Amino acid sequence: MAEMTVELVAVERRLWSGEASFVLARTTEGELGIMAGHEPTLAQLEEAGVVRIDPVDGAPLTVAVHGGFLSISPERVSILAEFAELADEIDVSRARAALDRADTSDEEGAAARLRAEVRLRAADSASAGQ
Amino acid sequence: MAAQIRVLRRRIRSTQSIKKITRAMELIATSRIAKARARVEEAKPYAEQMTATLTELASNSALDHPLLVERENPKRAAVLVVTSDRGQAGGYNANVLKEAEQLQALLRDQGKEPVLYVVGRKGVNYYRFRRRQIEASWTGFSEQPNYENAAEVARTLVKAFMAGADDDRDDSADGAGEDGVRGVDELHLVYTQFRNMVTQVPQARRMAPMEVEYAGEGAGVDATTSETETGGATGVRPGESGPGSDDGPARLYAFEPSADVLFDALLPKYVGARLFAALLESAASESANRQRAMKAATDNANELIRTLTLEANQARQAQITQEISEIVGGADALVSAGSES
Repeated sequence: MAEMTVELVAVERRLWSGEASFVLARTTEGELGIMAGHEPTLAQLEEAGVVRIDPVDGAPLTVAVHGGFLSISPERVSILAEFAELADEIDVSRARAALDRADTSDEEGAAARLRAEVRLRAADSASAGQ
Repeated sequence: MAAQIRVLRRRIRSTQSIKKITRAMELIATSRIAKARARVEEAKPYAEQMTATLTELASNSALDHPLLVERENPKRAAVLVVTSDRGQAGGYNANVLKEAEQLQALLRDQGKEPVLYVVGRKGVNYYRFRRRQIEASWTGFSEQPNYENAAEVARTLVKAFMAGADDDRDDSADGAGEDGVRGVDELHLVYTQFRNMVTQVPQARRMAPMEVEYAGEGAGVDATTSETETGGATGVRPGESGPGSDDGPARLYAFEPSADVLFDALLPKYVGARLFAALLESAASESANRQRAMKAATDNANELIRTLTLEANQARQAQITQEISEIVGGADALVSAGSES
């Protein structure tokens, strides 16, 4: 299968980079599956969403991405995120606690709730895929 | 005499305990520089990717975003000053604040009213002591900033900047415009650039309206710098020359959603990322300054201990000498008294 270089970059650090065969992400317009040779695209990801990367070798990676952008060229995919967490780094019990704690009445609380939700979703889909 | 020795010994002891403290602070600062520099490095890939993405967008977008357009008649200019929370950092805060004062003087000369935004307790205290109005301030993260902090500052600044767009258009008394919020027309940033371990330079930069430079122009890391030096020449405006002129024909990109919407969403994040980079550099500079200051303090303490020990020993010897001469003198007096009788 054709390969492409995928980079997952958060503001504070580069989370992952390597060769991958497939990337699945949700933009504000809808779901987007990317394989090598994709049309060059710039896209805004959902405010909080789950991105799946299938590396050439190894198990699929599931990532919770907040405030992300996607930049695609035929041989390269870059995912830019304000915050990103790999599914196996997510502390499920803490995310669940954050979800319960989040006060949705104000803007900040709603954002925190969204963050916690997407972390749980990423962790869920990662464990379901294995 | 004995009293003098006691005083000297006490001073030696207190200097020794001060030395222990400054030495510990020096070691902590040293380890923090390394960490802060690593974080500066780690934050680079994002900034580079962001610049690359913006570059692609710039050639496809209308470029009429408020963050890019010069206001016709700028009245108020926000100045964000990045200082530290704690002192004991040599000239670090003094240098930043001096640079900030110069920038404010320059802005006033240009007929703009500076509006202060401050990061770090030292800066807040400085302006509060002088009874200058601070629009907003953030404290508690100067040594180890994370993106959350930068994003919060960026949100406030971008909001103020956007609110400034409609100022002075209508005839309202305070010139606040339709939204009733008195915003700003320019964003300036004063922070300390970390050049290397021995050189940290306070810098004044304009953040908005900003100029997006192309990654292909200029060399390496400099190309990711989008702000121009305040009062300096303007950089290359997007649209004036083709994107990626160095690496062949530009790619045709598809956009989801449209290029303009994407651009609007990206620019504030770009400000956040730039601000974060500035905070990280300031943190590294702060630690470097503190390390230097504390090293000097430790050296001075060593020197002081040496001199005091010397003095104490001299005093001790003088005391012994005096006691001996007193005894000898006493014995002599006794002997001569005996021979007379």
